[in-house]
Amino acid sequence: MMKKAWGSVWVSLLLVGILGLMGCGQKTETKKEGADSKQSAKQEAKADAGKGKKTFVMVPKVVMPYYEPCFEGFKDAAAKYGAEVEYLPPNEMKLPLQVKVIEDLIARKVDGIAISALDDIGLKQVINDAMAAGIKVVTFDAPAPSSNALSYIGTINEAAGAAAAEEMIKTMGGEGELAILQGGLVSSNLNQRFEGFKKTIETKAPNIKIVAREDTEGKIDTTVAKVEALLQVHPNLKAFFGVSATDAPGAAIVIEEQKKVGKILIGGFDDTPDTLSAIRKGTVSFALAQQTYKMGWLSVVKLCEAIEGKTIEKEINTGLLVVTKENVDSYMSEMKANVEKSDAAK
Amino acid sequence: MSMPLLEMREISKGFPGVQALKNVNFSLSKGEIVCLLGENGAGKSTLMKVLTGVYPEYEGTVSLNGETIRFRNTRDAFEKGVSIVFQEFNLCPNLSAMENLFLGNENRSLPGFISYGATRKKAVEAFRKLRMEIDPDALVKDLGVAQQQMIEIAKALSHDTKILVMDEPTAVLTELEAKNLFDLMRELKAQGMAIVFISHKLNEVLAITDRVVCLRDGENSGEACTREIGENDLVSMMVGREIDRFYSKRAGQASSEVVLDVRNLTGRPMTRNVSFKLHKGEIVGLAGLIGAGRTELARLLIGAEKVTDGEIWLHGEKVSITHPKHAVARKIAYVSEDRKKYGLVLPMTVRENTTLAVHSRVSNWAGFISGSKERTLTKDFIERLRIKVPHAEEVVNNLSGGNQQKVVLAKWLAIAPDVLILDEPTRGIDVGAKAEVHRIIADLADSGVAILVISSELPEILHVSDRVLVMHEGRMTADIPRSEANEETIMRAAVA
Amino acid sequence: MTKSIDSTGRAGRNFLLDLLKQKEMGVFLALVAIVAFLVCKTDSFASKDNLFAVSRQIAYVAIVALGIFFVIVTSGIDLSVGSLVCLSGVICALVLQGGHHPLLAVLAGLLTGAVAGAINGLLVSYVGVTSFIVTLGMLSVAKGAVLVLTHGDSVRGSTEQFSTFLDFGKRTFLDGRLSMPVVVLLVLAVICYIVLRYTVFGRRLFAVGGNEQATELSGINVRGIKFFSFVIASVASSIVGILYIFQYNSAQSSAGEGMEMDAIAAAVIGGTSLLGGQGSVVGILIGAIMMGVIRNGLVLMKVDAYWQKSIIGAIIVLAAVIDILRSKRK
Repeated sequence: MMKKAWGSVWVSLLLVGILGLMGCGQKTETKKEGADSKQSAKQEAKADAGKGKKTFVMVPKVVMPYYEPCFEGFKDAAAKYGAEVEYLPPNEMKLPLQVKVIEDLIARKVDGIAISALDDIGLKQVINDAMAAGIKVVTFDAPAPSSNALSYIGTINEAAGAAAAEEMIKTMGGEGELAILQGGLVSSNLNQRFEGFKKTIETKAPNIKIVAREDTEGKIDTTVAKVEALLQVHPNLKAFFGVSATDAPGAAIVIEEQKKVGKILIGGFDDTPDTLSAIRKGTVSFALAQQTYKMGWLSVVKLCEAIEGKTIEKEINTGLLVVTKENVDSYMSEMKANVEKSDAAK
Repeated sequence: MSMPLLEMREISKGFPGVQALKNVNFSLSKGEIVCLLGENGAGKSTLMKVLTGVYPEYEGTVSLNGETIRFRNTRDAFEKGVSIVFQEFNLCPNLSAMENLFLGNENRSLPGFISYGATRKKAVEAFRKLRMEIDPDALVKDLGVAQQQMIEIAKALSHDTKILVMDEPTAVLTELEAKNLFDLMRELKAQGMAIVFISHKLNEVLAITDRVVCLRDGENSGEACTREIGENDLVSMMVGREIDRFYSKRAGQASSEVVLDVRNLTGRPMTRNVSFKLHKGEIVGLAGLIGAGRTELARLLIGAEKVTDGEIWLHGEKVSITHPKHAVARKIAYVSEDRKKYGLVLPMTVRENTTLAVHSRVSNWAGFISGSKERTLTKDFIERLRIKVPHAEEVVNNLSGGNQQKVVLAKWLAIAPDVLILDEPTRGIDVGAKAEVHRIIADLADSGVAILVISSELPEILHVSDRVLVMHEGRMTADIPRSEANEETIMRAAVA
Repeated sequence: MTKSIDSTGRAGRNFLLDLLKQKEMGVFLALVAIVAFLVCKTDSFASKDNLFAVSRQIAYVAIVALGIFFVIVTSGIDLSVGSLVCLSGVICALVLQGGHHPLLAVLAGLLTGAVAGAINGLLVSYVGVTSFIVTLGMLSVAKGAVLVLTHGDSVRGSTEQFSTFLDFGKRTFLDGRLSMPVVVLLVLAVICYIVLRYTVFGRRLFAVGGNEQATELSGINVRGIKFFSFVIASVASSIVGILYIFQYNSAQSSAGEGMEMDAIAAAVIGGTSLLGGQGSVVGILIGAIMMGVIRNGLVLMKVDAYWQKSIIGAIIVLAAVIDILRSKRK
């Protein structure tokens, strides 16, 4: 019917419009995070021409506030070392999207890529292709050990878990019932954190009992529902530990509503705005902030060294900062200051 | 005829809650065409299922050539020479004619491999024997209905068949194709085959069969030699009472007042330049071959398809109908030819289906449906149309074909139409219900409704119409008054 | 109910027998069994706090399920409901953060749903694209919009309007037993029941699902009906997105994620046929309660975390299988 033919035209127009909008969304990111709009265009042209300043691109797993300090460090280091930078996060945490970004960068012949690897095996091929094409690749925040990436700059997850456990023992006073929340039981980095955490608790705090471990799927609705249920099952529960970034703030919502702040303690991972807000309120006792600024900064440093032909370390542990109510507002500037200091000392 | 080829004696078959067959006797001789007659639910299918091995469990005896047998399954029956061609074909539309012909019976060269050369040869031979030109490689879905039926018949005859059962074979055929089929049947009869012919088309029964055996409510209700009886006798055997009139006589006559005036109507997909008038109280028949465009014309009139040229005038006023809701508002009703597909919402009740087009009548300003108004309206129509249901809350899906058709009629009569278009109104319903539908049509015409009856049954058209319109490939080719209308004049216009 | 919702209008039949024959009786009895099991096996299931929490979780899913029911009845599907929950909440919170009146914020949230639903409805009914594709696309568009607006962060409240808004929503009823979402659910359930059973619109919804072509030929504007069903589904999602803010004190960028699965599962468990034309409000409620109780029960029974997902997945598959068997038996 003719109506359907017209219908297809409208649908196509609509799809083109939507794709255009999404494309704009992407570009806005780069324009905002990189230099201003005019410079961004010039950067691309320069990168494509292959001369002038080096171009480094940061590819996180997805759009997320967690990565913003990473890029800040990336950007600041680039300003110091004379490189142009771009920020290209995929819209969704989906492997094919991240692969596509790298493929596009290979075509554009950029100088360096810092990638937070969504999937080690899944990215192996495209990272190796980039290396083969002469682009220097380092991983940050999440490693890709199967590939030829030059380095992993980030948190060593098992050690991170152990450090978190130390903090938890302190917070709990060495005893009590503890429930673990994990946003997905499949990711290796989360499991490594959990293993490190568990080992330390078992060896150093025999009076702390882990009574439950629940999968929160990284979703707020699930986290809240599980915490509510756990509070019912374990009436003597003393603390929650959140392994992934969304767990502690989710637990905080429930603890605040049930007016159990201070009675039930929460410790977590990553310094998302929600977690920091909860720390300020006292609902969350501590969060282990990954040194995201440092990851970004060191990525640029190491990429520059690699371009100069120097060998770089296979693994750089950027370590963690414990964020508590005391330093919640100052920790970030402290982190930045530390990084710049150690860099200057080189 | 000599000793019977087949004798079924005192056959009884019961299911939980219902005794389908009670001491039924049925026999067949070589070279005989026997009609198995009866209303829906009379037991014809059950009897045939006993014969063809679908039901191996039954009481009574079946003997072939004097030898008592009991088929274990359909394959067993098939191999002993009993085949059946069903009303609904069991063909694979995406396979070719010859592949379907030998489905289950493939010619193998090596184990597991089909020999296409041998298959094609055999297929061509089989089709030639049936006097049908069918390309063995043609996909079934691209073939016409008559040709598909031929493949089914060829399948049934692919073994050494002695008894061929045909269940409503002409239901989907045009007059011409049915004629071809009858020629084939006569040839098979001459070769000594015994044929059981199940049909509701009484004129055909009288034309092709030698003997008629009738069932009613699972029992024998009459038997006769075809040449000794007429149509009314057949009907009496089926319904168990005298029906002196199959087609109702009209009390009134068509008036001269024009209700519907269609001028040069052209539209999707095939209607070209159609013009005709309908008068108050008139019954106009619309004849033509299958595919002539009659349903398409009806759908144009009610706004289900797009009009690209021409005008529709109603009560002397030009109207624009672009959606069925306009047609309903203007009191034009269309009873479609496929009630299950286009006429009824099967999961809903009789009441809900009856009121489907008249929600404004049974609801208030806020959109709330008045249960009592609905029930009253439905009850009224159940009585008026003699719909056989225990109550109005019966789900329409459970009703017989005839009662379903009446519910569709009820729905459309509820809008109090000025124009009523009926598309194959008596297709697939039993004789008793057919007569009632015709009575309803006659009464409606008498009360002033202008009626257009689309039908592929010429006897029906000839009996009910004041005038006959004929269509061919989307165009109107004739407007024949009753006095001149007969099979010949209509056919000529239908193929011209 | 086996037919449309109006099958038991018969007078003088055995009421109890009819009640037992209702389609929903099977699931209802299953639900009663599960609840009884949990009450016995755990001391916490029946506690006031747990019931408060679970009933609220159920209410969120049930409201979305009620909305999506209107679409499913007409033989469509709406996969965008989860992401619209999120987007509507984000927009409502942003308006509150902008210092505007809470009513305006609520309106903005509902309008988000209405507009999205209208787009869905337009593309499905008037352009003719299949609802699976359209709503899948809307899911991505809504998710993308959330990212653009929030960069993955949540929208936290600091304005006075935000606090007023929260104060209203955090109210409880019946001595702290019923939360706002549960009350909203009850009101919406009653409204839906009345509309579906007693109004012309409700009748037509079922008719479209039962046989779209026959309904259109009977003079009913099928396109309009389908269009509205999508708007209703999306507005229901918006309501939940707004309700979430009361609990989370913020609009979270992962709120409502995956909710369409739970809503559809709840509908199917409760007797809604994905082919259209059948289902009931009571069934939806039973289905949503069943899903919520099972999720809660799994944690209360300390079932291993690795098993929980599989069990819930198995239940959803089971529900779909029962649905097919049910429709085949007819």
